[in-house]
Amino acid sequence: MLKKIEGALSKFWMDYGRAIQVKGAHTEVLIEPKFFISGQLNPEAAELLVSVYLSQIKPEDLSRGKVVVEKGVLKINDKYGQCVAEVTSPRILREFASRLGI
Amino acid sequence: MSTPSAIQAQDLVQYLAGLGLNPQQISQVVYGLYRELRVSGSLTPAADNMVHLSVEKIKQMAKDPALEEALQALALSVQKSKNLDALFQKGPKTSATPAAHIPLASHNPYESTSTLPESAEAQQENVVIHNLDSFLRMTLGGYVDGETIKGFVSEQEILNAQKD
Repeated sequence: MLKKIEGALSKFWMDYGRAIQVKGAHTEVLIEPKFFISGQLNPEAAELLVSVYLSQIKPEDLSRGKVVVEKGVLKINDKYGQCVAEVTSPRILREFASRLGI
Repeated sequence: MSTPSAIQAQDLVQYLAGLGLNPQQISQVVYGLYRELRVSGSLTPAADNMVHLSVEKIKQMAKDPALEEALQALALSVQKSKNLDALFQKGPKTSATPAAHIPLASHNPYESTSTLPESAEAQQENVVIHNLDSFLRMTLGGYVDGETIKGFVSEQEILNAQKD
């Protein structure tokens, strides 16, 4: 299961992330995040997942409570209204607010 | 020299130099130490003899939790100080000793630090995940089916899976 999820994250990173390529004399090294560090999702990958997710949010999703922004914290809720993640990154908040004009 | 059974953090710079990477490339790799390394292509017999290190060994090295921890600490130390001196200090796990033949002294440490990614530490507060299972299902939905992710919540479970 972990392999499948890491594979999916790797594909996601290739599509949206910043792959680093190091070319040696005889060997090419591709560097991507180690997606789980000490049993937790790499913060760098988490940020990218959140950024891409939020880029797909529409104004009507706000009224449905999928995403709630209050007091400098953006909460991502599941379909039951439970908060699954909180975002405090000023850059992500700024981009999200700017895109939706809030 | 026989193939080492485990590669220590202090040997990494030497091995990377043996692969033909230049000092700047080495520093980029050192900064990516908490990342996954994927090696494509193949080593020439001469290169392989020089480092006594197989591609599989490099892959294993990138997955060694103890090494990962030491290297991450090293990378963070270098990033915090904006100076590569930490790579050359002998001492605890976070040090690395370059081989004498590696021309790292000619490298400008500030040149590469400007392009480095933010550290895990610096980003830690930006996204707090309360429910990894749901989070991955919502954000990674198009890349993996929901059943695979379902129930994927335990930190211990991830750690156990990484050991396998």
